[in-house]
Amino acid sequence: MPAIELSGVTKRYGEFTALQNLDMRVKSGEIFGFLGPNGAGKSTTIDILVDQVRPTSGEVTVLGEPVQERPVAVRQRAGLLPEQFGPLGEMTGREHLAFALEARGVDDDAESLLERVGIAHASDRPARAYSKGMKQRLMLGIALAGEPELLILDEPTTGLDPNGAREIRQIVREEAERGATVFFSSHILEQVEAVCDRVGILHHGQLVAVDTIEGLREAVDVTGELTITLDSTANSISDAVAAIDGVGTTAIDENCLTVGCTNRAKAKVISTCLDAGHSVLDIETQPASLEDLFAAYTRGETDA
Amino acid sequence: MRERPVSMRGIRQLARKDMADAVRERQLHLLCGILGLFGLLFAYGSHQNVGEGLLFFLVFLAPLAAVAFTHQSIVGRRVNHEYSVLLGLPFSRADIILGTFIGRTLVLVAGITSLYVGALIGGFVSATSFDWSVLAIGFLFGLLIGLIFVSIAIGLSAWTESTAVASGGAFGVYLLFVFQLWGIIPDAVAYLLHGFESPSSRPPGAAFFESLSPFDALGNAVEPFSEQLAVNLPLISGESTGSAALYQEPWFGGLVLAGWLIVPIALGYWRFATSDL
Repeated sequence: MPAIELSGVTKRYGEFTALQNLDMRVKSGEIFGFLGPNGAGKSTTIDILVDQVRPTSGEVTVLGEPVQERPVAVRQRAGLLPEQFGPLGEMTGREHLAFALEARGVDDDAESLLERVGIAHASDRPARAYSKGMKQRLMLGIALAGEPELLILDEPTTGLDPNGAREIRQIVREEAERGATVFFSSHILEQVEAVCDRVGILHHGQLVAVDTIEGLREAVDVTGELTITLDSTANSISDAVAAIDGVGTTAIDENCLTVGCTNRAKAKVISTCLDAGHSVLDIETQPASLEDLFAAYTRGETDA
Repeated sequence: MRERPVSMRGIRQLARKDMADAVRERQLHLLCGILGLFGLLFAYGSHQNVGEGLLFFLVFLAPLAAVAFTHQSIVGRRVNHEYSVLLGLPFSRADIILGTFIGRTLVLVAGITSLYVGALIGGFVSATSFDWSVLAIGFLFGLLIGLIFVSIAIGLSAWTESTAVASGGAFGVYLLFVFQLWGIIPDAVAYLLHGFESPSSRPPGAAFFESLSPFDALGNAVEPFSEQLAVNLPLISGESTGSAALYQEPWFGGLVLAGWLIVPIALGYWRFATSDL
């Protein structure tokens, strides 16, 4: 049984189509990265998964439960970290987690959850006064309360420093080891790449691709960028560089040569420049952007 | 199979949370303090008919307190994204509406109880004698008219996505009755239909329409319990015609009160349950 199954889900807000005929399946026990730029429809999809938003058409099943008929059953078995959230009244951090545990009917202590998400030091302060990052951690704690079978995390790493983002990824891995399915949305490629088994890419309300992390890496690899600054104009070597195996695109701007290529080809590109008698003044590499990735996938589709 | 829309456990937890919110935000202290002090001073200063006087003021104060402490209770939490969190936990939308209603009911009960406790203390100090049955009937009917306005305010608060509409609507309904505009509605409609001229007689059904006011219904419903209380009630738009029409019978008043208690919150729930949050 899939943990999440959407078939033919469309959501329209007046004239605007947020989701268009979305089909998606998340397997039980996997960490699924839900990737897309802001405005792609990720949060709308997540709101539909917990029946906070109703689709215009289509079927949605979460943990085998049809969410529109049985939303409370879904909320009992799935933990949610929403994109936008407000603290509950004037409750302290500890009261929030005690409330969530009580709601799920679990007799656990809030203390270990507070420590796990790293806000034990602020547990008796009203959550309204927390920083953005601390609120984010608190909301993750609410999602984790009662060891749900599925975690639905909407941009869990926004508002956190790199350290905090790493801690969240660690928690995600631990939850997956416990046997939970994790559905994790992000607009940042690296966040998803580091932890997910499979990735779905949403663009303009449509699923552009679903791939394993290896497949994603390959696609990312194709679209990595290398910018080399030379001591003189790069015109003379552009043909030699373009001929290297693994090089996709080349662009020249005076002394700068920008090459879209696989990671493996990068060393070859640099040595070609040196062999041609140039001095290399600077080298910059950029990871693939999401836009590059969509391009890579859609190009793949047209090739096939 | 569709699940039950309400769970007692969920409602109980949300009602407790709502009550706790009122305590944490000092709303409860404020309400109980003001009403308690008012009751104390009022009973201390008046030496007779304390029960009638308390209900007279309660007919103004209970709906006002209900509106003031309830009009933001749903929409305010909605715009703060509190429901994004609550509807990630095993609660239903019906649990939210009913839990909030019960929580606000308890707040109102606490406030009105303070009024009466204050009055008892003030009365004992000034050696006033009480008619206990009038006090008890007044308490219950004062609470009932307050709850009707809790229902109206929650209904509006659940209906709209705008905090301004929720507060304007709830206070607007309150003022509609306090300024006794309800009774004018049939005449205003007749005026418009007659091409901006006053018709020679009252439009048919005007008296019936007046009896649909929750305050008129309160008067009609209180009568068999205590005629003394009924004649002293304020905000009644219909005139006593002597020969009681069917719609001035106590049972009809009770029906109207039940309608005002149930219909606004039911409509608000229906809209809240079918919309995107």
